[in-house]
Amino acid sequence: MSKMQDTWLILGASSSIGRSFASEVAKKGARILLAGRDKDDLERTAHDIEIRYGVPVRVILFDAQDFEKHDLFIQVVEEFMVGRLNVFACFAVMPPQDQMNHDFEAIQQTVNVNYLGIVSLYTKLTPIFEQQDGGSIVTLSSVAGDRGRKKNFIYGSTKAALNTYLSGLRARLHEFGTHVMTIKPGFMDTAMSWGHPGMFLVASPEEAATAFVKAIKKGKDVMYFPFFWWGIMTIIKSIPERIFKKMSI
Amino acid sequence: MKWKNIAYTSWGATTETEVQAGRPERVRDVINYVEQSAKLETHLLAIGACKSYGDACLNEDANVLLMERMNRILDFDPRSGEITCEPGVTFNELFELFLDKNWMPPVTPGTGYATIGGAVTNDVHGKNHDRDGSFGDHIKWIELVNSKGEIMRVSARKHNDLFRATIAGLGLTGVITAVNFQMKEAPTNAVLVRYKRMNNIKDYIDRLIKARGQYEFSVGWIDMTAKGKNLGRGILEEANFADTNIEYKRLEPKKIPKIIPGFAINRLTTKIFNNRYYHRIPEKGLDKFVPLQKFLYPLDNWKNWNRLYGKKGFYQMQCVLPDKTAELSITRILGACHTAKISSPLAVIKTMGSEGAGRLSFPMKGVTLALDFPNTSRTLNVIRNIHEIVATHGGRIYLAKDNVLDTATFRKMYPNYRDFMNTKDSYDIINLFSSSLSRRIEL
Ligand SMILES: Cc1cc2nc3c(=O)[nH]c(=O)nc-3n(C[C@H](O)[C@H](O)[C@H](O)COP(=O)(O)OP(=O)(O)OC[C@H]3O[C@@H](n4cnc5c(N)ncnc54)[C@H](O)[C@@H]3O)c2cc1C
Repeated sequence: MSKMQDTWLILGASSSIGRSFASEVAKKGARILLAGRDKDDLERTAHDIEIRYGVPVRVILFDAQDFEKHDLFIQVVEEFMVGRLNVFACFAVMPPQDQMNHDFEAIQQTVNVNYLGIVSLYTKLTPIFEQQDGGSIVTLSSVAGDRGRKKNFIYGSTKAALNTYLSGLRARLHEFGTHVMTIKPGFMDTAMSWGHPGMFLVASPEEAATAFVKAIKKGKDVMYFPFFWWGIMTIIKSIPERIFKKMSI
Repeated sequence: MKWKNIAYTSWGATTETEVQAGRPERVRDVINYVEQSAKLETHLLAIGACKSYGDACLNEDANVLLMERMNRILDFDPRSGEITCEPGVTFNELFELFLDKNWMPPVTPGTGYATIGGAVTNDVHGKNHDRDGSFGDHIKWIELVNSKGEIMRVSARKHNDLFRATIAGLGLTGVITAVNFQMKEAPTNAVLVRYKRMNNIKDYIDRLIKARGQYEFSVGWIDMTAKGKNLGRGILEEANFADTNIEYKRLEPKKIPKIIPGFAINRLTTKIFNNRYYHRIPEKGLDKFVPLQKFLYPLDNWKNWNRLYGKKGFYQMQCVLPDKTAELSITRILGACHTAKISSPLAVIKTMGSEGAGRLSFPMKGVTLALDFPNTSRTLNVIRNIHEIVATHGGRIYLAKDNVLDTATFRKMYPNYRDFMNTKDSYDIINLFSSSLSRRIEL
């Protein structure tokens, strides 16, 4: 981030990652827009950030699935933003795969939130990035998108679609100087992962936020976090399909 | 919301407890967890930093909520010093955020790692009790989630019964989700401490009572190994704010390595340490400028100093005794420790000014004594003897530090327990909120 005044729009700001990231960029003086569905909770975070870091913070209600309201949402963003806009999106849903093996509504919600919600919003935000000098669009995807696993493939496939979309968006906005970053986190210590069996080396939201901000500064395109997940996924991706299909990971 | 199986101990680390733990990040999560526990008919307890020494923060075979992620500052008025925050905020954080604006917590326990939630529900006291009372005296309102999953805001004006049951309520009235309280003005970030030798228990208590409220802060250390005419000797620290700020940056605390043997604190090392500690202060006394946080949190330099007591952990006994019986009963308590050949370097004496606002508040006008005991085969007996002495002399045992007291003695010491139970019963009909402590003393 340069000395230029920055505004950061945090999509999914009620999550611990969203909160930590917002605090991390607020520390550096950015204006903050907190977007999400739990208004009371977002207000709490807004006050916390204002008091701790002395930056202006505003709360906007946002529902990824409510596509019709996205235009209005962008208007509010434009009213509040000063200087350059940056986006950090960290919302997703992950119903259990067992449920999604038969429940189409859950599948639809997963696709709507994790994929279409982002595509709808980013499409509408693109003109802002075309007009401004630089800025970052940072999206929390998942290592689950690297390969379809028996245990998590609906969720994984929405993340795979998202990764492909972001790769294209990166190319499309390159000429405008926009930095589009895809984050593929492994295990992070969040409400989503709390109590899940088989977790190891989980990173705290604060550690994650610090690492993300560092990677943004370096202009990374795709980032595995923690870094060793790059190695794990390289191995998983290299397993031939005829063997992989027999594995229950 | 999901639960996770965890094992943990309180600060005394005498017993490891297994629980199902939830970790809410917002009020909605708390409600969700409360409703789940009610449906499962499983006891629930919110916990803070687990700096309680005994079983106040334990909930064996039941559910707990780790409140660490609910740690936001919700409101702060830099002119009046009124603050609202979530319960997971720690005392250290309040110092880091507000001391340079000349505000500090109104009352703080001897560790900066304790949380505001823990401060409310144990109605904690500090080194300024004579002047400022305990934490509960500074609270305007508390927001909590009750066992029906409803959000309630309680104060002296609204639901006063629940307000007074929640202050010092040991987490048994609900899950606190916000607290509004008045901060204290801190003109500078340092204190001028006057260190004085006290030769014996009589002089000590005389001085404490005579100087009551004359200084902003006051706390004394007792050399538990001293006997005979030196019984109860120690060092008294009396402090006022310094006139100017001093350079201070809190260092990350050091960790006690795992390899330190469990007998690091025994009678011999204690005797050597205590002797040095006592003679460090010259006979004529010593004046010194000390950073406020260092003065208030002398033990926090070592993150896990409780390890020094080894694998079996340790006990702390803290009691308060009315002025009138203080000298006699404290002499007896120290005597009981000598007879049992038990001592430790940590022995603290302070005066207290008045009763607290909570039904089960520990403070009363008198003298309070806190003693650490290594966990040996003799320890429990000594502690029970002390409880007997305290009960006979009209005193009280601090529940935040206890895991030994029995129901009958508890009731004798806390005559308002019935009011407390009536209030708890009327708001928590299903008795959802419960802890290892509450089941032990039948609260
Ligand atoms: C080195 C040291 C020095 C100390 N000095 C003092 C002192 O000088 N004066 C003093 O008074 N105490 C002192 N204590 C004791 C300590 O201040 C108390 O035990 C305090 O309650 C610990 O806070 P905690 O956040 O660790 O709470 P915990 O120990 O985790 O919990 C304490 C109680 O608070 C309840 N609780 C916590 N959060 C919530 C919530 N959100 N909603 C409902 N209930 C909740 C728990 O159920 C439990 O009953 C000291 C402790 C240590 C380790």
